[in-house]
Amino acid sequence: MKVEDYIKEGGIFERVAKKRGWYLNPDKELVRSFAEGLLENKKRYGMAICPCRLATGKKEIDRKIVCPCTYAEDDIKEYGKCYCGLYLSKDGEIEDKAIPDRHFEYYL
Amino acid sequence: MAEIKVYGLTTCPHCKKAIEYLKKIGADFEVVYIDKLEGEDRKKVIDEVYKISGSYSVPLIVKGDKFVLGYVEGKIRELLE
Repeated sequence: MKVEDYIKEGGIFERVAKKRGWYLNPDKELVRSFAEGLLENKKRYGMAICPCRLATGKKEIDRKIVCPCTYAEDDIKEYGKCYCGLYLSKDGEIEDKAIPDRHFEYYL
Repeated sequence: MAEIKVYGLTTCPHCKKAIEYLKKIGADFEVVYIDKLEGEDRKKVIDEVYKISGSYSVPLIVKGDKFVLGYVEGKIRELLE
């Protein structure tokens, strides 16, 4: 798997967005960086874990934050974007603000 | 000790952007990468992040008793003023 497999036209990111009725963040540089982070986590943990979150090393917990994470649907509905901001509810820029992490209980 | 402390993850795109921005403006900062820590050290830093911001999100940019959560250039600029 390469960065291009995620970001190319018709690639993983686009396919997921289309399937779920979401939009991809229009910032191409940021989207590339997400792909790089996902690939790094795949190398480290064997799963494409959200690059903005801390993996625990426990598969049953980390599985919840494999991109797109299990919280994405709710976050996109409530905040207009997923936790890391890769997927959005509408096409275009949204407020650049951190949103609460529904996965926080697993960090400690 | 640097004037600004950044808590982040090596894989986090927003952390990278915040660090690039701080470099660009010549800020005096240090970075703590939480994913590079293990065991008690990691727990301690995660606790620290929560105590400062009331959240576990990164990047967390701290200057004295003030902080900015997330990569928001305008807010980072204000923090450094």
